[in-house]
Amino acid sequence: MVSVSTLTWWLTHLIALCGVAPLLVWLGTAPRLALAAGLLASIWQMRTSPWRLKNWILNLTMLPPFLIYLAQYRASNAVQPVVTLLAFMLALRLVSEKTVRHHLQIHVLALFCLAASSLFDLRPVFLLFLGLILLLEAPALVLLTYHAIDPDMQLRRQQLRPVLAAGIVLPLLTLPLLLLFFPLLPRTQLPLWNLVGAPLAASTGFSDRVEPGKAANQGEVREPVFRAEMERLAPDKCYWRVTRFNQFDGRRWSRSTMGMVEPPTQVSASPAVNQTIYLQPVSMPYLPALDRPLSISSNAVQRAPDGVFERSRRRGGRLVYTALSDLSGVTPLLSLARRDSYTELPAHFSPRLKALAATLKQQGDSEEQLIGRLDRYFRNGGYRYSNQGMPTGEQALEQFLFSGKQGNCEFFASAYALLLRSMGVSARLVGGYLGGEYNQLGGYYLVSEDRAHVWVEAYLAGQGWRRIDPSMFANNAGQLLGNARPVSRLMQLRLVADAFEYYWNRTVVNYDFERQVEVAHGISQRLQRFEFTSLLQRWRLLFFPLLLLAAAVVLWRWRSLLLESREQRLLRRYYRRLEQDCGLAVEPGKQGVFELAAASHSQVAEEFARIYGAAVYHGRRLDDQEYRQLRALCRQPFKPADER
Amino acid sequence: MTLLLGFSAVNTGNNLLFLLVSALLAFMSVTGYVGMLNIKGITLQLLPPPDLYATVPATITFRLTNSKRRLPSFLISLQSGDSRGEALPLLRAAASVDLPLPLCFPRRGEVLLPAVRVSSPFPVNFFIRYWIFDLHQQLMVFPAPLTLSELPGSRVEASGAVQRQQQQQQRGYDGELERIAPYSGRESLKTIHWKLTARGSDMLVKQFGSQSAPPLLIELDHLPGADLETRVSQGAWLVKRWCRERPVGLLAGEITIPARVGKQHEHHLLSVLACYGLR
Repeated sequence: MVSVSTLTWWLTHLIALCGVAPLLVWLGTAPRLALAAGLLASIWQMRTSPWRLKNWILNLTMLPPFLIYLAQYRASNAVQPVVTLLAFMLALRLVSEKTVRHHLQIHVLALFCLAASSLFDLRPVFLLFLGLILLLEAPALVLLTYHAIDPDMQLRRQQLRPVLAAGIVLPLLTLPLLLLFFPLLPRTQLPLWNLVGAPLAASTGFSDRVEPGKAANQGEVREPVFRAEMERLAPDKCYWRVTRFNQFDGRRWSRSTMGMVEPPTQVSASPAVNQTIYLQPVSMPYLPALDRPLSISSNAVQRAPDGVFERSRRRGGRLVYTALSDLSGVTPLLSLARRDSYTELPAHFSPRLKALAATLKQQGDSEEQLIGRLDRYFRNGGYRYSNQGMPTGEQALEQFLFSGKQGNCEFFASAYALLLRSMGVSARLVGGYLGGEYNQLGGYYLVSEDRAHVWVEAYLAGQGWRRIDPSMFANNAGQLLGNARPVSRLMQLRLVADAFEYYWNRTVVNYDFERQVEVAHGISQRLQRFEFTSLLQRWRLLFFPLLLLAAAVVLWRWRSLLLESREQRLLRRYYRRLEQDCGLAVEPGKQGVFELAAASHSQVAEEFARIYGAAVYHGRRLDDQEYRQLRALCRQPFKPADER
Repeated sequence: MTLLLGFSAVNTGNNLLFLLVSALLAFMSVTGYVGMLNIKGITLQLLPPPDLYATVPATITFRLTNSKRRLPSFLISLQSGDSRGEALPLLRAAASVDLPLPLCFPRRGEVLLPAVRVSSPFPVNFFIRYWIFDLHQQLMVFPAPLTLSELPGSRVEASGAVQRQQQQQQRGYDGELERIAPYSGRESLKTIHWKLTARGSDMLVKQFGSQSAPPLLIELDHLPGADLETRVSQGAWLVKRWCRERPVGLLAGEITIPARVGKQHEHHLLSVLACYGLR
């Protein structure tokens, strides 16, 4: 015998654990300790005897934490105090006695804790805990129903098995309906409370400035910034443009759009590439896209005069958009307004750099020739790309060019652009990302923060802005493009996990009102275009087998109307036996089974009538065992041959 | 809870909350359907009831059959009016179980079995699904027996002592051996005590007492009750008390039932009393 109350106790505590587990990392020490204490107290009571604690006393203990966390409540910090109070309430319920009502309260609080965890973290681990809670909740509620009828109820193992089976079948039946309800539930265009993601989850961002020489070493942060769904490209085409830097003050590059007017767009001859970008909640205000983005389709975007795409609202949240890019590496522009601003150098610009520019420049050189000369200088200069051991301080660029010869993209791009400007060629920096891990499984690029990159754009009269990446002139440039990175098994696993997260974000996290409208519109268009004949032609091979299958299902479902039931079949055989073996003239429907058995004076017929009557005359159908017994009786003669 | 979470989901645009709300809505829908499936295919049959007396609680047994071929039913209970039976933890597929239901009928006579509600809170006690069975079965409810200790002026002997004395005064063949007497010529040959007769010269016979008591005729109008209901109840008590031990007859208005003994006769008398005076 198994006690129902013991089973419900275990299930309730497992549900509490599953609800609170994803929230634990976001809780402070006090609620964590309270939860641990609550759980221990509950286990102690389970092993010994329940404490006789008055409910009102327990509820009163909630007053101090309630007042403390109520005082911490701010519009900017609304979630943390509420979640902490939830944890305290759950801990309290774990300590208290366990009536059905208290069990249900624990279940509700666990679900609220799980829901609250989604305000901190949108990763697919939520799905794991939701699945576990659903799996546990159904048998727990079924057993609580038994518990409500009789708290001391004991079930035999044979009784418990179907009860638990029913509890397991419930969540399995829930799953298809969940998949149906999720896309249909109404969304709003703009959420009223923007609690999700932005301040809590945004840990990465893109710097607004480029400052070579700020630090000797740069740590690698592998946090994903965005995923771009598209075909795989050659590594040298994967430049993700984010922003531009056009002003240099001697130490750092910055962006200025003062007095800038958007130039007329020139049509490029090369084919454009489409990409769908799933931006993680990052703090940067720009939208990355493959260099050079022609357009970005999103309501939350505006194009600055310098061609940078900026977010217009919901800064920091997730965003999905489609970008169209030209991969030629050239921004066609026939004439450049305010050309001086792109050749401007700071007042105290390094004389050594000026001297170097002067040696590289020869009278009468075209911009193309000057660029070619500078390329050769960098390629043959023995420069090395590295994020470690970089020069620092005010003379960092000089040290990089003339002594250290080691630095990251900021050094290469800054030095290159400044030398170009010194030679009178218009130049600016472009900030963005280079490359990314291409996930074959998901068909997308995963671009992480460590892929941040800076390159140069030089203006060539009559052509426009041309992309030049001076970092590619380094001795070890292959490393930068990811050639040197072997794809380890760990990396493969990471890519599989990332593909899962990508699909999760794509289908669940980023599903919003716009997508809902898009799906509804798509379905409506499909229905309008729907033509049965074209469908028939397309699926002609499958159509007839499917039709046959459907007919078979209908026949099977309504077989009782078309065919005889097994009770009727048995009865017919019974009548035949009585006629053949006992010489009775049976009139079906006028004589009862028992009446005929009595008239036949046959023990076999009487046995048949007993089994048949016990089932059919009591309003139920024959079970399998009875059916087999009756069939066996009908096979044997109702009377020996000599008695007939 | 679902409404609160749904409100939060819509207002925050958090799809994980939408996922949770979808799961809860789906779960509620499934539990509703499973609850309906649980009581579907259950049939109810009334087993022969015991003797039912007005205002006296009696247990009526019903045979519950689960006619579903594969699915069991859980936590089925019977209810009729305010009376509720115990819940059955499990009723297996294609199986039957007898369930008692305490019932009490307020009035005598032929009454229709009240509708019986077969219900179950399965699976999660959010809703109770039920199925009402109207079996359209007539039940005979006998009058509530009212003990009669003294019957002045009646022809009913209520004292046990008087009964025994009367029994001893009458001779018969089914009582105990009371005495040996000389053969008078009227006695049956099988009463001759051959052993003693052989010892002496006179024929001796064994004389037995008689167990058969004198018939009891209940004259309903002469019973001491103030009104008809009381007299009917007293009559029912007398029938119940004596009908297995002695012949009991009934004289009620124009109804005259000769005195007989036995259970069948007892039922007949009680049925007549149950319907007596009712329109």
